[in-house]
Amino acid sequence: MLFNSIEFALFLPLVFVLYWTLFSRNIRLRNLFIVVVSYIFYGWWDWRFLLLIAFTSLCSFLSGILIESRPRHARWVSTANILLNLGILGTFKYYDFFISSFAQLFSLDCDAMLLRIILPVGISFYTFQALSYSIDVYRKQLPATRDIVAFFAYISFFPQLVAGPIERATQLLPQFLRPHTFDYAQSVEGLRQILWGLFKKMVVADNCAILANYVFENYSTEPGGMLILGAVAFTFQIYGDFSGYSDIALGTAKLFGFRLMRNFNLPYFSRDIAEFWRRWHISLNTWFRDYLYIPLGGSHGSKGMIIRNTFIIFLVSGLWHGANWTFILWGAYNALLFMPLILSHRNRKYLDQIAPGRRLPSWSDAAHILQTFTLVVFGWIIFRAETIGDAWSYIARIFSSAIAEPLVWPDSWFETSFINALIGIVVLTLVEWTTRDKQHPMENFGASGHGVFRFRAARYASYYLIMVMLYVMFAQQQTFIYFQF
Amino acid sequence: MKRFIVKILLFLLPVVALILFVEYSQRNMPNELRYKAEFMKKHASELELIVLGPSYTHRLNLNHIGCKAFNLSYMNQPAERNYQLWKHYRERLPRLKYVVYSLSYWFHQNTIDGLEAWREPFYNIHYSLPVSGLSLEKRFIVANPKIATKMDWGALFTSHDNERPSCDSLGSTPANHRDADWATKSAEFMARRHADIDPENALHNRKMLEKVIAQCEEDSVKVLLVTPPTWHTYYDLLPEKVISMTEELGREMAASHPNVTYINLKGDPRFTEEDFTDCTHLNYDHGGRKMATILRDYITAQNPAGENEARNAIK
Repeated sequence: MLFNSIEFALFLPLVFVLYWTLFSRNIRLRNLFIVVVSYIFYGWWDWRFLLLIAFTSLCSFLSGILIESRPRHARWVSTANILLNLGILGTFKYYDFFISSFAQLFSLDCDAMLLRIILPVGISFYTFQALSYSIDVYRKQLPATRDIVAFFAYISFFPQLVAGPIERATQLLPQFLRPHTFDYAQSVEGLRQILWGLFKKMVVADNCAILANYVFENYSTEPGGMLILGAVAFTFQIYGDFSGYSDIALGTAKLFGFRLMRNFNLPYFSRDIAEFWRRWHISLNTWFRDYLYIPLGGSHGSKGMIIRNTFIIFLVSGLWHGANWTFILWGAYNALLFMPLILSHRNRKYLDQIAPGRRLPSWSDAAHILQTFTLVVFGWIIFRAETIGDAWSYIARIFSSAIAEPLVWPDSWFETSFINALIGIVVLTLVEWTTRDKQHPMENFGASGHGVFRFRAARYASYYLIMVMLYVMFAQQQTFIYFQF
Repeated sequence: MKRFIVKILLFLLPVVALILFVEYSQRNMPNELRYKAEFMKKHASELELIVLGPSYTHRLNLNHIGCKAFNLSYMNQPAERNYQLWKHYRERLPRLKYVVYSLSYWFHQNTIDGLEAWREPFYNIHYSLPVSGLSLEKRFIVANPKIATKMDWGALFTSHDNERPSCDSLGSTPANHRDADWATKSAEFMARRHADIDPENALHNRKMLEKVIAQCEEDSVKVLLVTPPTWHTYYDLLPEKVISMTEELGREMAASHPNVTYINLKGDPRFTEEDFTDCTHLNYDHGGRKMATILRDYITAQNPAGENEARNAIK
């Protein structure tokens, strides 16, 4: 079920009340309850894939025990578990893609060889989460757990099951092994974060989706200005969609006494591409850094090795997003942007907060932000396009004479979505800029330092205003983009 | 925890009150579908002709059709909805002789869960159509934000003519206004939209049409399957495959069902500029009247004077 659906709006309060009234006192019972509701949540899409997530969970759980109890075979067990999980992921996600790409290369007919299997929702996320556990046990960063219920709960925890954040076992698993008591402040904080996440998803992302979908489907006949609009719309769609989901996930987890990692840190305020990749999809990028990049040697070694490692990490990251050459090209594009920074050791230039203590960024910072944003937008064109040819044609059309053609709205619904999206983007940007020192805009809302919002009336007014905006400006329900990964 | 839940409930109280208010006021708003449902409740047993389809037959001026008729067409009404309405009223139309069914180029792709899915609760509420499953969006207007926020505040506090909200007394919309660029505005957009056909949707809609036709045949009701007239600025942009797909479907239905007559009004020279409000829609006063007159002539030709075709009660 989608977070912004009526089903979830009924599901969450029911689970919340049952959790704290009946199941929170006994850890095992609590975890069992979490497994049950998480499987109900996941099975709402397709109950057939419950077996798969259960199998993945079981394999990783057993591998952890074996790694710890048989240190001589630890390497083999860990390798086998990695291959098994990646094999399952690869089969569901990439088999048809690679077979058809291979066949196309040699002009072969591959129809009989294709499996045409549905991609299970969230498989990329929970697979990586399961792998992080077994690798951390192998590295002795974490003791293997013998509590199978807690482990199943860790893998299937519904707030972050289908689209992350990809949690580390060292951070999340211990939370399932200790008791939780109801924390009023944390729960209120969770609700605020959910509300903000819903705003990003329903007002910003879903309205931008209408614009982006139309433009990308009709790019060959639309004027260049519309193509720029479409690209920017998709830029905010994917951010609103994904970071909105993450906010809802984090907020929901807080309701149950759990803390998940922050997954987005205002990436569109980045001053260079390296900073962007430290702020975008943090859980995935740190996963690749810790489990792929660093084992390969990271940024140590010769320039050749650094180039190789950088390309590997970005290409794999691109491939993780989906079975299409556009994702791989997107990864390569980002690798090319990143390369000069890392080779010149300037990839860690911007580690501080943007414009601390200032109302506005400096001219230099503003220019860098705009430059980085522009580069990112072009990357998203490649990401969103159906094929590499479409991506190239889209970008080429922007730089052609079509840029001078006048903009024509296809219909009134387009104009409405445009206005809603514009309002959403302006509000999003202003709010996130002015609260950039916080985990989310309404963090510690009642405390001093929030100006007028330290008064309850102002806070309540802002909650109601957001709810009205959610309702009035809601476009058409769109699936979360990252569900397809 | 108790304090948390109490605070949440208190916080949500005005939200719930607003939701109930919006649902109640929207259900009671003067609304064409409500008017049509109430008309059918009172007069269905008298009707000899009904019209089913989307907006292309919505402007049919039934004052010139020559028999007791009512227009059940509505904006973007898809084939499945036509079938639902037919099924709902079938038993209550003892005098029915004709069904005018719109077979436009939009027929194949227009579905119940498409762009106009948000209208569904209006149909279900006002026509009392059965709703399967637990879907709240199908049962409650407020579960569809797009329509709930179209509240006409004026309607709540001033008296409205409850009888005829946006259609004439026979269910047709008396639309005549057109823009200066009526011939070209939206032509390309509409042509592109109607050309994008999903074969599954087309097959599904065909099945819905066949169901209506087959049941009409059982009830000795004739079906006038009509491809409404459109202006050339629109159909010149339509791919030939869409036009031929539509015409072939019409001819096939007529060939395989003796109660079906296919009337293709595409490019009919009787329809001129003065008959249209835009490239795909007739106006009420001229085009709608002309089309009704043409259909009347078909009916007259098929039904010689003096023959009584009243239908027996079914089953």
